[in-house]
Amino acid sequence: MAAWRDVLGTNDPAGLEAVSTLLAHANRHDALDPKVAELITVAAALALRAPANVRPHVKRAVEYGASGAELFETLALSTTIGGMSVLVDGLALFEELGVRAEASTS
Amino acid sequence: MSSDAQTYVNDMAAARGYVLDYHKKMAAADFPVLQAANQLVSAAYLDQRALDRRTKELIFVTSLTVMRAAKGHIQSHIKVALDLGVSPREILEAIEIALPEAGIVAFQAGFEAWAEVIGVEGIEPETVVHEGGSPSTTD
Repeated sequence: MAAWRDVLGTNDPAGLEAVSTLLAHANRHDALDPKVAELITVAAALALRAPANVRPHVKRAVEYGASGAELFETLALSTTIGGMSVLVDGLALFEELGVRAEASTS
Repeated sequence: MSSDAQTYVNDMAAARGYVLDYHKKMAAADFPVLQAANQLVSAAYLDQRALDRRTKELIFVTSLTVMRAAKGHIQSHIKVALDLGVSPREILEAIEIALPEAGIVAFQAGFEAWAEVIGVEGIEPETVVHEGGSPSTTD
């Protein structure tokens, strides 16, 4: 499946520009620590059960130094808000991404 | 409410820094289920593990925003975050993450919760327009 940016850019270039601008502004963090911002985004995407958004932000969180234990705790927090479906889907995604409590993704 | 339930609510208030109406009413209506639910919350939220309390509060504020939680619930975590020394700007940036993730409607509710706690004044237009309202407007 093509990346969403490619599909949108082909079919609605103006829409891609608008969405890209929104993402750039909403993801510009002057005060938030980048690792914390990524963990927050992972939690939000997990709660919304949006796997396509969980994957890149888990990877970025790890790049910013998030541990597997921190990611699992983030999943636990999302589960308290979103319920068992969030936990089950999140565990499957973490398995796919190689997230382990004792080690980060490769 | 039984004395056990009353003690439980008192302890919750001390541990969390807030108590929701849902907690108070569940303590009276079905205390065992409230205790079971709080065991889950305690494991994820209250017990100190890998994440610090400030990060956990920010995660809660944004997650509650994307799930369109009640304003008072979002505000309870905003207030605890402020008590922990998180800046208003950090909280706003956390809420802004909800904008692309969950859309404008969800974001507006989180933003309004934040603006009300912080006491933000808006910039009024200098021409006559229809009142736009807000997520908490009921009429």
